[in-house]
Amino acid sequence: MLNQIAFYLFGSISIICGLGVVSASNPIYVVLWLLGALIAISGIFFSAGAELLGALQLMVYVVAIAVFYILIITAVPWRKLHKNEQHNRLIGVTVLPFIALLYVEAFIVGISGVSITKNKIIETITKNYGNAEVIGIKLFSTYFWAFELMSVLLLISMIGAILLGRKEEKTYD
Amino acid sequence: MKALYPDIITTVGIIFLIILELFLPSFDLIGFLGFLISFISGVLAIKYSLAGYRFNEWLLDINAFSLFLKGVIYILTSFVIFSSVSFFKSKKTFLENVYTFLLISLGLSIMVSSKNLAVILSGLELASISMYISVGMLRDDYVSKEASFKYLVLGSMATAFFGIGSAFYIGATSHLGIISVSVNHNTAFALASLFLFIAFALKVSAAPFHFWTPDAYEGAPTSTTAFISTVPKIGFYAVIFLLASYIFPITNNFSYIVGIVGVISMFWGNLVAYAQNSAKRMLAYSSIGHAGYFLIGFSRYNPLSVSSTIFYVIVYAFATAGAFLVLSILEKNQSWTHDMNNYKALYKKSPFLAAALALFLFALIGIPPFATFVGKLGIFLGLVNSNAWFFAILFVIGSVIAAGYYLKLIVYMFFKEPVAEDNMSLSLNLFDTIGISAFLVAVFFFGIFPNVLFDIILKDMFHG
Repeated sequence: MLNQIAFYLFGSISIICGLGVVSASNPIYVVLWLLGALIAISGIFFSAGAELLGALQLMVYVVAIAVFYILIITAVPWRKLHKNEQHNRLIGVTVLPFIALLYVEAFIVGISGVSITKNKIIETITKNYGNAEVIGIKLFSTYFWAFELMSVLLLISMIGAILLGRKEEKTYD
Repeated sequence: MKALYPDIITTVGIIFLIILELFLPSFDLIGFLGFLISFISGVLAIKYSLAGYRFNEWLLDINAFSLFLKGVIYILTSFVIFSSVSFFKSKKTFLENVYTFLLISLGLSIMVSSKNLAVILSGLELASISMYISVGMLRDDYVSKEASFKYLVLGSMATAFFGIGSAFYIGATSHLGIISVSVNHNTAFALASLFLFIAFALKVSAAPFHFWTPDAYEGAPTSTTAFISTVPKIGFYAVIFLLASYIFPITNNFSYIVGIVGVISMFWGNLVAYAQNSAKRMLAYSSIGHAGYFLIGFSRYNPLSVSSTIFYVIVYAFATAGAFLVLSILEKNQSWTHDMNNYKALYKKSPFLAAALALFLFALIGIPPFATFVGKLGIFLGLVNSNAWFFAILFVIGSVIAAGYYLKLIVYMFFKEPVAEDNMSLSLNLFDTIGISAFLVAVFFFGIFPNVLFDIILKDMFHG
């Protein structure tokens, strides 16, 4: 019962924040709405019992990626990024059919249980790896090297974003 | 564990350089330390490779062959850093350039030391993202930023292809490692091989996927072009070799797709290169043409053609890096634009640079005393051995076509009268001379004694 209440609460918050993301015109507000939506989604994960996924959502998306968005917005001349009405409508009209198609496809696949694997391998993997312990052990034993490499990758991406987004003497308008 | 030392030294060195750069922002110091770090790692890797060390944990599969490739990657990186510091200083690029080179070589060396798609992807991404950054390093230069963005967008396409290919691969085989699997007429597996191949064809700039190449290579600082057009190729072709030995042969007739992409790339690159007025862009198209040769070499899994392709990639890296570095030394002159007319009578202004560039271009044509000839001959004989006459003949025709535009530049340098009001002076410092000479010696040495390199490749390549 409590779970359901939490789910509906966080779900409605995330929908409201999502609407805020597409309707706000100031980029800073957009990022703040996005932050709200991401936090609400991590709440949904928690209420569904996927603690690890919720924690990862909080750590990776809310902390790291939202901060990156803000960093980038401060690095570029964001006053130029104000969306105008015409632009939005065009994007909406062109993108909507594709998104609708995606949902229809996901619905059909979900209903009919189509799978590209022979023995439903993906499903067994998700069943076995469903808890935090298994993922943690995998990440710090088998995938240790790749995991550590990712930290270097994030570092260089940050340096690159700062370097390439740096204000220069010349502007190219 | 010892087999990991080269990578650990490089990683620690990079972090050290990032911190050091805050306190002592000097190109000479950072450049020298970068050279030292990658040279030590390279020599260690070669030494461990000859001693036959291996390491098989954390999804890594380091054997003598991957240690050898690591060694070549690190040593080439150190040479390029050594000869490009003075260029970076004269162009006032960002200081970060030195360790982005090291990061690229670190990513590549991770990539060649695993057979697991997840680890390969992490190495590939580390290398690619560092490449996008290093292309856009010229200060106040619109073309450089545009090149970086173009490379970013199309390079991300390659990553997307790699991701979807891995998804199909795990779906078809339930493994993430590239091992010998038995699947019969599996559509998901065929799609996996196609997508993985497209991902790497995009990365090595083979023809239908080459659109980023001329712009990225032209916009980048010239020393960076020398780096990104050569060193990453060694890593990418090592992975293509892995795909060619385990994945491509399973699907019927898949080798024809590889070969046809190679043929298109070879003819497109070599023919469009004739239309270029800029020497830098011409060399970019030459690298598209070479991607064609290498893919043709991998179109049949024949020990001779495959091993000589790896040999060819390594010596091609030395020759092309040398040619681009000569261009970078010329570009230190402020009024230099790489237009063909600038090269008129270059030998009068700087006999050493003109001779060096001409020798590198002869090497790229594949004329006998140079190492590239051995690679071309090996690919041709390998194709003939496996009865791929169609590809073998097209390969020879493509190579002959390529000779023309290299010779055109040589004619401009030696046999054209100089432009009248031309009084630019070319400065050549000691580091440039040593760096270029090192590349020249390598191209000559491996041509006269190809067995030094070839024996190591043959010994280790098929016993991974």
